[in-house]
Amino acid sequence: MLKKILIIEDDIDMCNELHEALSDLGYQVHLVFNGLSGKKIIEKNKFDIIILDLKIPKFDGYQILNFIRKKNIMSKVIVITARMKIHYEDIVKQNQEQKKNDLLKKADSILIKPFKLIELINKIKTLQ
Amino acid sequence: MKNSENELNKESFQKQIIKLKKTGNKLKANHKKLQQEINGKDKEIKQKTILLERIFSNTHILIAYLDKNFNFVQVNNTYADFNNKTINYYIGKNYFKLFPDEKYANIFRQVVKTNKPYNVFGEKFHYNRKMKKADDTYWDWSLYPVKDQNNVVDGVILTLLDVTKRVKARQELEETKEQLIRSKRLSDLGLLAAAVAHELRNPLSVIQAALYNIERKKGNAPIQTQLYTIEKKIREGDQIISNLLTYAKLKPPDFERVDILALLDESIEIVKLMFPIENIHINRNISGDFKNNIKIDPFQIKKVLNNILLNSLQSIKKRKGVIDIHAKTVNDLMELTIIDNGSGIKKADLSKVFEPFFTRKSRGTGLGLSICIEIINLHNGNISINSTLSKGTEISIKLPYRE
Repeated sequence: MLKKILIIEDDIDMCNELHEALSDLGYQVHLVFNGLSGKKIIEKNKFDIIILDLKIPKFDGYQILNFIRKKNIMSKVIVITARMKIHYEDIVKQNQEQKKNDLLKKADSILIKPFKLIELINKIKTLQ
Repeated sequence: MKNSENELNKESFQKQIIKLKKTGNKLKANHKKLQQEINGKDKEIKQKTILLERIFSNTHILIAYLDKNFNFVQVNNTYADFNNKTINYYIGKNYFKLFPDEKYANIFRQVVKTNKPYNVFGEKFHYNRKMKKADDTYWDWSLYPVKDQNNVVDGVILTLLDVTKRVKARQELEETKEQLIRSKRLSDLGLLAAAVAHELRNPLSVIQAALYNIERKKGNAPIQTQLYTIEKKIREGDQIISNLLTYAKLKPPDFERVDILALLDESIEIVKLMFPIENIHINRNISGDFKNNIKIDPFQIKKVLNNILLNSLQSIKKRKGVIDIHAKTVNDLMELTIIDNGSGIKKADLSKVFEPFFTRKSRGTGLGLSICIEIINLHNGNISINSTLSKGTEISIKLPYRE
């Protein structure tokens, strides 16, 4: 059976590149471009792996992550983000930041942009 | 008759004697009273003198009483102690024989002439007597005319109060104020940096993904150069972000004891990856007595080393490049000198290289060396640069070992 991957990412170019690479590797890839669509599709379908961008419109990546874990959805989640933990601290209010960091711990893996696609593929392979 | 006359005379004589005796007694009593009063006053004067003496001696104010020709009449202990002398050393000596100074002599003469006091607040002196190190000190001082009964000036009182601590505290306050303004600017910059970082990293990640697909699909077409370019640009972009963030987010170092040579090796490895140029040799010259364990913030110092080495590599064009790194320990300071034979820096630019956003490169934030100097300052160290156009550049870092 084909492994099902959901990509929640608002950059269409990024989605296309990921789609092309992962489909060719034999995965069944679904794309959504905002958080709300992401939430809806997760409620109705089962995915082995969810690739989740944090900064997405309508319902952000943190909320999606929280939703996934609260609903006990068994998908593995790989967060992809341009946010750098070391430097980003205290730019946003400290307590908000702490909440976000706690949420991030619920992801199975985090990749900081720009990452090499082979790193993502390796992560997918180890998580499935 | 004669007898009765005699009797009369005798009687009046005796009366007079009694009267005189009475007066004598009164005088005696008066005298006693006066003597007691005198004794009382004497005691009072003695007490007042002691009191004045105590006030005069027990103060942190330096006091000297000079006559109108500026000979010392009296000084207090504080005055004498300040110059490590006794009170008697001063008495009778002329002030300007001891401390010749035309400027102050004029002020003193003016006070005597005009009969008006002179006050100065927080004047800077360079004293090197009692203090171990010659240090700047700040003083409130005044010169008051002393008048005789006829209201003619016949002396002056010089008082000096060391206000160095107060002045230094005020200076520190000013510095803190400046730092706060700077922090505000940096926090604005921090927000900008975070936004820029996010915006820039997204397209970079797309390039990275595209790169993978190109690589995967490539046939025999020669796209290797493009692939290399894309990768290089990604690293460049990432370096820009990294510098901007580091500059914006500089904070007091997290000191840790580390091996600076290991850190240096890590840096060399990193820049070699970022700048894979074949014809550059990096030489390490370590002095025999070099102490390589030092308390620094390894993250920050690595940033410094990376930036300096990257500058060196970038400045070396085509021809054979050499980067010499010297490490030595001098008087409890660790000294690292990085010398390249690159393109060097114009004399006119040399003073600006540490300023933020200054750059002569076509690409770059101009923050590399600003970050270096900020970090080194945070470590209480020192960084200096020397350069000759088309000959090369030498950067020297001095860091305290700290316990």
